[in-house]
Amino acid sequence: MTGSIEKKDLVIIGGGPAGMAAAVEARRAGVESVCILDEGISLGGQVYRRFGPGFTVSDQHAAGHEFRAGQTLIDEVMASGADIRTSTVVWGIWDKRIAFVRDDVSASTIEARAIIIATGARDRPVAIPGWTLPGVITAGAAKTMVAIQRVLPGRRILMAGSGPLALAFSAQLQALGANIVEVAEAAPAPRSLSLAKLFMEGDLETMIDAARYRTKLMISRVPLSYSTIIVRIEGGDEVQRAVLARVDRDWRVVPGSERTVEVDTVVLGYGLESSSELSRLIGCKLSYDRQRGGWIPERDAELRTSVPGVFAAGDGSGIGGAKHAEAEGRVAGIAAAGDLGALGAGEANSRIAVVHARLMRMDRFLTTLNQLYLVGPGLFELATDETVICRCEERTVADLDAIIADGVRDPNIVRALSRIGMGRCQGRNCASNVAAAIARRANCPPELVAPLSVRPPIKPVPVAALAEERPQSASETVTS
Amino acid sequence: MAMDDMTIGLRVRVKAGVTRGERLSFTFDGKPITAFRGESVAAALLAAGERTLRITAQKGAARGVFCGMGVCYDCMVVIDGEPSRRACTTLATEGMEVETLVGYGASR
Amino acid sequence: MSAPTDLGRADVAIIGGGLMGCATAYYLAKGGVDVALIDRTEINREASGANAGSLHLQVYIHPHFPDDWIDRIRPTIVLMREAAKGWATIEAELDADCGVRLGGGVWVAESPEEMALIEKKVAAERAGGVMSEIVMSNELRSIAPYLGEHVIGGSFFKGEGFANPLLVAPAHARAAKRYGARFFTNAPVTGITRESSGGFSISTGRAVFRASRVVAAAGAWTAELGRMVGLRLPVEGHAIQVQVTDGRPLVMLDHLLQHVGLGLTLKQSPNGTFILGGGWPAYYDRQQQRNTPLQNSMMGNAWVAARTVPAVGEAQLVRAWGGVGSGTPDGRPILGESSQVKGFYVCYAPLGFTMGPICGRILAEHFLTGEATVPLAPFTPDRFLEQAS
Repeated sequence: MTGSIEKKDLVIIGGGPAGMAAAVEARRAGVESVCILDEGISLGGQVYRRFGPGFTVSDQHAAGHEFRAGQTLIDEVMASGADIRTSTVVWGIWDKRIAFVRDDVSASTIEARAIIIATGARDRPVAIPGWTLPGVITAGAAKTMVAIQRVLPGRRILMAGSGPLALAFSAQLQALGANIVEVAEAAPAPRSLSLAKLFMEGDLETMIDAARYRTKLMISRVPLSYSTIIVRIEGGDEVQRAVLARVDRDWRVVPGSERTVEVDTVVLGYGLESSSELSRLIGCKLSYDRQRGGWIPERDAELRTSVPGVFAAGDGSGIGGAKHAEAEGRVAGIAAAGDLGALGAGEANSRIAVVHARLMRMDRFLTTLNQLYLVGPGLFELATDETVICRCEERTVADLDAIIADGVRDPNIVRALSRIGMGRCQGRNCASNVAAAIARRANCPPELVAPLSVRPPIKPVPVAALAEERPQSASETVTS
Repeated sequence: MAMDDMTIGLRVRVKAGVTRGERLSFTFDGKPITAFRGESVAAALLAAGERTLRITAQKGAARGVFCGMGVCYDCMVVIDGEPSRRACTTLATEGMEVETLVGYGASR
Repeated sequence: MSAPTDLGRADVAIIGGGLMGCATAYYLAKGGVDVALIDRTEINREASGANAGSLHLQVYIHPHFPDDWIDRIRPTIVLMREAAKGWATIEAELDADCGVRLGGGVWVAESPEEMALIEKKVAAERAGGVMSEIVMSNELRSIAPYLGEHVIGGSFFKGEGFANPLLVAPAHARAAKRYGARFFTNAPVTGITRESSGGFSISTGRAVFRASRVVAAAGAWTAELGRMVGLRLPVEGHAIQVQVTDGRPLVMLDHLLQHVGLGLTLKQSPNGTFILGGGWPAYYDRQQQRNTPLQNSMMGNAWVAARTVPAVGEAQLVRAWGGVGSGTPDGRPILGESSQVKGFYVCYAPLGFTMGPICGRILAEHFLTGEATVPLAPFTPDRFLEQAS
């Protein structure tokens, strides 16, 4: 390659809470060159996303404590001396050579001595009849629209999801002026014993928030239904109504319990999936945990993956939320600094120990929380034959079933034969649903279904950006 | 100067806690759309009640914003003649010509 | 040690479930032969299923090829001619969608030297019955308006195009099964021994399959199979890669475009995606156990593509994968029975995706009747026999 390759000690991929915290700790530990690569126009990732240029925060309090927490971390990173590159999309990694495109136009490469993968998460794609209609958005999209873009996504909004995040989020939206017609929580109402357990293990601030949100919703008379799931979304060309139904503990529909709500917007908030594509590309050993984000890289206590020199932190390696991600980022940053020789082993261990205590507490809380809001298998059984399962290539469940009926059990072969997973989203919106369908047909747990293989480019990149320079070997490609 | 946001875009813009930058205007399928600097094309279109952003190639189905974070590629529109630009990751600018994306777009 | 499992027997065992093998299975089974196909994993796993779909029905050549390359491969031109006829009717014959588009094949040059190579190529093609034509700049641009400014001229052959590598071999396999062919997958062949009866015993680890005759259809792994019966079959494989863009407005008119001076095959599928190939090297990733695209190749390939067809430069790259390419020293297929190992047939061709159906067909013709539409003598495996001292 004709272009020169930059060398850095530590490259952190992802500028959300995990990535930022890792950068802060690595710099604090004395790692010379620390570089953060993030695809957004500013740092923050999804959970700490910043307002667009032109917006000014006129009331810090109204901006929310999450926004403020994000700002604190961003200020720390900006002051840390880390090399921050935004609008930067990583498209491939070979050993520790990271290929990326900046601003959609220029391609560069960095050779790292150590890498921290902090790529975060995305909303779980829930394939139900009508989910592709304009007006159906994910909880992440609703949050971005309302909290960051300050635009209400619709006039009559149904929140359908599970977990305290969904509840908190509904109240937030409502407080900002959204007309939430109903909140449909798939899990049963939490028993007071479970709530008490949560209280004891939990982050007090979060628990008080949760209680406050519930109260707010009650005060504004937003109907909150438990054990209720959305089964269908209807409308001509856009959302006009949604059909809800009661479900059992497995989230399976109770026959005869369907009812309709007239809404123009449906927000789907049924959890998150880890964006683990990069760790899969690098060849990290993975394990599957449906409750914690799907296929995630295995890590040791200091968050090293199975690939030497590669760490993974944050929601991209298992869903835990912003605070959890930040704590993991700190551990990875310190551990990487130790492995790079910037910090002695003893010092690294004692710094990590401090964060570990916090992490352990959060992990216990998360475990209990997850138990209350276990994703029920019924969620993956709502699609019907006509339901689109691959949004990009417009393939339906019937198309998928035809392939599975022929005996195919490998999503990669499904992809080859049906185009499911070949589109621009590169399988992000269909892989887990395809795996669930195969698992059901093969009567096996989803972890026995192979994950979709990942190859570069791991995000779509402009041909023009890659085509900038004349290569040295354009005329001597291999014979035949 | 604080904008009286609530009267713009039919009470769908949130006022609390922020002041917006300058107002700007672009078109969507020829219709004038109001936006504020820093808003994505998707947000401005949503505020204007425009939710169908593209028509799929095979089945002619309407699609719009879904994931809001640039991952799903359902919010693609034509911007200044260029097809398949994501509305949720593109900031609205003055005079931009945005159109519904039909299929893969028209040859130029 | 327990005796290996007996998998059964067939009159003909075809080893290799790529397009060569599946096509041979189809034509033999259709001809009434009792056929079994054995593959080490699943059918269409390797080169046949991982290529760019190009149908190379014209001579494939680049400036750095040996000077006498056209002479070496001249006997294959008539094979290309017959292959082109086959591709025009294959979907009807198999009653299956194979994604075949034969809008025409365009070769382009950017310099007088490259143009000279195209002229030499076209002369050989026409002499062999492949009616390509030299087309200079203006006319070329009316045939192929999508070309960029660097192209000065090229050639056009209307019978060329592309197909969908994910569909072709499976379609042949299904058709073969309809005629009674049996398929054994996930059965890697570890040894082939001659039986006293004159037939062959094929070991697949813990199991054994017996056949009167064997067809080696193992593509890049042909040499390995040859060694099992003591034959030298000098096929060399290498990792190559293909990449694909997102869907864009249709501009390429179902053409297969190739650049004679730079590494590029280019086509646009009906769903608008551009498919970029051209033999760019990939590498074998030991950890993931598969051929994987290389950064330099992705970027270099993109550079050539965008330069040759500017519309590609407006697209986004969405997928890339590694595949397999292979070749022989003289660039010719290896087709026919070995005189040294009677009953052992070889069915191999460089650019095997294009040549699979025709090779399977003429090998079956030869097998069933002793004659074939295209003479097999230039392709005999015997040409690699060590000279007797």
